Amino acid sequence: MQLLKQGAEADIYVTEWHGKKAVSKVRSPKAYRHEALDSAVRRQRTVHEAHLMSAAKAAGVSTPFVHFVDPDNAEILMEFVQGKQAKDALDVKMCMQIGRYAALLHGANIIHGDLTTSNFIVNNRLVLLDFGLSYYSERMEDMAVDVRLIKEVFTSAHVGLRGAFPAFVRGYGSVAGKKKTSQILANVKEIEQRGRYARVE
Amino acid sequence: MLCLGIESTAHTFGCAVVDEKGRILSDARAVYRAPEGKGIHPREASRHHIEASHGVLKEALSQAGAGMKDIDLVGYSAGPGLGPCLRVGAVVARTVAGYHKKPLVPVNHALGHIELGAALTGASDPLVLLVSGGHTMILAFLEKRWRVFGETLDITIGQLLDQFGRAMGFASPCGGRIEKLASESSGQYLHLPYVVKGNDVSFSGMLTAAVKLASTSKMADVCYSLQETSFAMLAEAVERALSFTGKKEMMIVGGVSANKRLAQMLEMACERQASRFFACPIKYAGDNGAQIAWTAILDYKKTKKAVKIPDAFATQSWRLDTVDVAWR
Amino acid sequence: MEIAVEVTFPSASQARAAVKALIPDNVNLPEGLTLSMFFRGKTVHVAIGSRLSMMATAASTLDEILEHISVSRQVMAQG
Repeated sequence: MQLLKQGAEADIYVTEWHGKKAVSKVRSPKAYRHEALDSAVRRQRTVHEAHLMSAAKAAGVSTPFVHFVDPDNAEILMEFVQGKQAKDALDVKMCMQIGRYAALLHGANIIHGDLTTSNFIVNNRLVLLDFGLSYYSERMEDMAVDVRLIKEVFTSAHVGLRGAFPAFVRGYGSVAGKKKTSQILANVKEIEQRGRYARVE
Repeated sequence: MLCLGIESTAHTFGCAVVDEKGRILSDARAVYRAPEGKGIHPREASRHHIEASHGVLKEALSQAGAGMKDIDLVGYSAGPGLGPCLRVGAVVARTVAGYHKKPLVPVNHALGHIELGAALTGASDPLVLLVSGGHTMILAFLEKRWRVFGETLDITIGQLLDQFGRAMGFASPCGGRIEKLASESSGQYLHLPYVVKGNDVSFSGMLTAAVKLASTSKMADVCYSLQETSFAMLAEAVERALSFTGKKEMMIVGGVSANKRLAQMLEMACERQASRFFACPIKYAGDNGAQIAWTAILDYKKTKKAVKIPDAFATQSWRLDTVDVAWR
Repeated sequence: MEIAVEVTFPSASQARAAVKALIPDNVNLPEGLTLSMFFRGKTVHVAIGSRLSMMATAASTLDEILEHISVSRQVMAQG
């Protein structure tokens, strides 16, 4: 096994699965977390992630194929996806596609939980990775948290790319429709106002 | 160049004199204490500041061995903060600047925390975790401004600790008491909601759960678990933001950064991401006039811009990510 | 109805500085309140006009203004 990336959430290794290149995603223990908390968090996220990757695929979003899951070692073995991170190749068209994906997930009541440009791989299609923080919810507000995060990423890391968020919104709207899209955007605005300066009361 | 800085956003009324090399010549403060079990009442806090203000100003000047004539610049904390409190500092600042004819510079309070922290620790381009009663934000500097890479989705870490503590009848701010109780725990971890969404955190569910837990469990264990869970969430969010931004330095500022356990966890998160960890010295972690004075100096030296007195406003919700930073 | 207050300062320049220091906080008054604040010689004049239904708001606005005048005066007394 060769270490591909030491991430904040998990370590990614390149390995083989029946002769084919594969990825092993291992959530190693975090020393700063209490052991009981740490093992509960890692186990839960591993099981969830594998399940939600399949659910997202069923909703029409490209995700890597899952080969097997080992909850005790917090490991998922999955397909290796060749390509660049969207973070390093972002254009307006891609933002729109990201918007479409988000709407497809939300249509299936899946909240991605970490919708950033480093979690998309680009080759001839766009593949969404890392469902480690994903969960099911029917609440508009939770969907808005997803949208708010990608907006935050567009306006921080990609502040130089003009029209990124509007393109995302167009893509989102093309799947979710006008009504739902504007409701979600209203929710995004509300969350933004809540978090910035919470009054000391 | 000597700058008088005036801080008055929440509990603290502070005045300090700082020179252009960043030497803090004086640092006078008076802190409003809410009655036990009660939160800060903005109008009560402002009355405290009214009473304290001229004494604190006098002390700052005499500690620095300076008279009004020696002051070259006045900086004041113009927001974000509590309206009645901000206005006291603004009145003092406008009076001094107008009557003694000194240039006046409005300073964003959050920016003050960051700049003084950077000056004192030597961090040059850090990812910043700002944690206090009013803020829980993860920030990095990019294209002229401090951008928000993560923040709380509901209450701040300071509010979590204070509101939990107040429900237990502790006096605000409650962080110190909770830290002490936690250190008396045998290390019995009680499960509390752990909510990290991307680089963002949410504490409101944990607050409810912890208050409930306190009626059936040992107080020390609840405090311990509250710290372990909430700080681990912050450490994880910081680690994710470090990984995303690739910043090689990380700095913690704000009142809650006085907590040793939080600093320890962040240090471990930094180690994993090969980043250097800096903590603002505890003495200057909380609100103070020096952070305002120093930031005003940086701003004025670079831009030579002062604000006219009729335009010297105080703005309760002045967002850090709308402030152009000319000197970085 | 109107509440008017006069506060005398040691000098005209202090009265002037106090008025200047207070005005920026009192530009956006609640609907139904009017405020005039000016100095003549050493004296600062403050007058708040309000509807009867807004007396409490007028009183708390005046309360804060008086506090600010006292702060301003004490700050200048330090020289």
